[in-house]
Amino acid sequence: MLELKNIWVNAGNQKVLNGINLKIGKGETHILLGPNASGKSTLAKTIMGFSQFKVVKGKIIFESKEIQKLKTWERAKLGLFLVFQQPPSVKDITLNELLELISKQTNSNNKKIEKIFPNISGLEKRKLNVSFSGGEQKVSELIQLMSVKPKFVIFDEIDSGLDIVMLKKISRAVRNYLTENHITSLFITHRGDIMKYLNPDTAHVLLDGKIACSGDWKNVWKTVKKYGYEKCRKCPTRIS
Amino acid sequence: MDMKNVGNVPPASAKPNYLQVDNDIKLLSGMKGVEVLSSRDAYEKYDWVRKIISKPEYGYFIWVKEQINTPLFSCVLIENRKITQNLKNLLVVENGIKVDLNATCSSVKSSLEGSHNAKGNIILKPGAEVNYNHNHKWSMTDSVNINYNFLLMESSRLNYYYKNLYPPSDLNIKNEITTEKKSKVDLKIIIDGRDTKANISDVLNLNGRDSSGIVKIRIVGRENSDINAQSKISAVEAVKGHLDCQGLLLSNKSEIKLVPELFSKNKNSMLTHEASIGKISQDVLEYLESRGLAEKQAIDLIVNGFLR
Repeated sequence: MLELKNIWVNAGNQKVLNGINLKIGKGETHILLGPNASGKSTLAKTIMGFSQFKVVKGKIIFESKEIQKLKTWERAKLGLFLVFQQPPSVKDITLNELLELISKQTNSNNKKIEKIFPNISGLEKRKLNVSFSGGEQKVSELIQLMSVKPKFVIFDEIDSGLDIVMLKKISRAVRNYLTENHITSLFITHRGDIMKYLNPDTAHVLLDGKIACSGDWKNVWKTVKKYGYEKCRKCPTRIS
Repeated sequence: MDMKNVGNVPPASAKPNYLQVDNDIKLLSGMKGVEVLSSRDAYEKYDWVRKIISKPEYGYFIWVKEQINTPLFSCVLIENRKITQNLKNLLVVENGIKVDLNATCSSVKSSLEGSHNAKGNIILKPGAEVNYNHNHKWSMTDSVNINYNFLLMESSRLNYYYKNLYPPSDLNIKNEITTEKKSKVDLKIIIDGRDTKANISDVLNLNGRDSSGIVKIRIVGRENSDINAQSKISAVEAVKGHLDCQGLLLSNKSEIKLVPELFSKNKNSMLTHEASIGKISQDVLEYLESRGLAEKQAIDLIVNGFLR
């Protein structure tokens, strides 16, 4: 469904992704692991077409269509969605106003969402992402996701800042939603706990702007947990 | 007359109490407890009116003497080319009466090159409450000058909301509000400028002890706008006032100048202000675009929220 072919990306004059190759099949769930500043969020924003990141070489193919030159909203219309780790504050609109506009475009039913997140009424009336707690940010992002009804979702550290109870609750809600709606996904994380709830098809390790390793998530996580990401750097199976 | 194009007006079923088209007064409609005249007739009829306004050509005189349950509605339109309107309006609301007034001024189509000049005197007697929604909708070729004076007598309350989402190329607004003791004012001015040169000046004189006021200015500067807004609150008694001026600049070919001014000569007064001019951040735009909103939709969503 999504394929990155030798993607090189610059942020200003700085090289931030150095020849990424990644293939995610329809209905699959992949995990992208990596230490801080390895380029995980950059990769997510590059896939979404954010202007800060320029693809200088390579192709992004989504459902057989090259999308690396499309604008962000055009990619979103095709079915790509990013769940932000730290969404920006938008003080002039409420979450509800955004949801109403999205719903008009997608004919989504917010009643269904209220069933999954029964205590959202207070959040909806508040200014979008302004003074939202970490948990509220996640809930807000997930409500938007369910309104947009995308085909492919990137979750950028959905697990950050969540305690284990909240992590379990959100992971299960997300997994059920993705399965029921046949949505393909890429989860960016540097915590392993979320993988237990998601049971992904494949895990990748990103190091220095490059995929260093791909494979069964249990094996990859076991190695990372035991030896750290440095081991991946020295791993003989490293893709270079 | 087609009322569909005049912007944010009451429902089509609402009958104006004062309707002026070009320079014809088409309708003057009072009701029990409300006297509605042309300001010219009121000037001839009442000595006290002559002390407040100079001899008018056009404009309404509305005197609310008893409590009413329906909003008042005035409508002034330009339908033909090169019309110049000169209005003097007078609204007087008697003691303890609460009234809503919706006023619409508009040109009904583009390129009429109209000129709309309106002076207003709004007098709230003790304990009166007025919610005044003033909606303007003009075309690029029009020019508009409005100059309103508000007098808030003891314990009265004014909510004045001026909205102009379709300003003319030349717009001048002056408001002066004077409060007597324990009165309250909430003033909001909203301009969505595009190809607009506008000068906005408002002065809030908090003259009465324990009176208070909030002034909010929201200005959007789209392409080729030059908007200058000066707001002043002055305190001579123990009063509270707050000035909140914000501009949103959407084009490098536009200018917004905000000049907030506070003046006090009473140590027990409390006056505050905040002012800012900013743009829509790229992060926010791309965030909304990542939800499937095209750039224009995302901008409109933010601008609508900003101008609310």
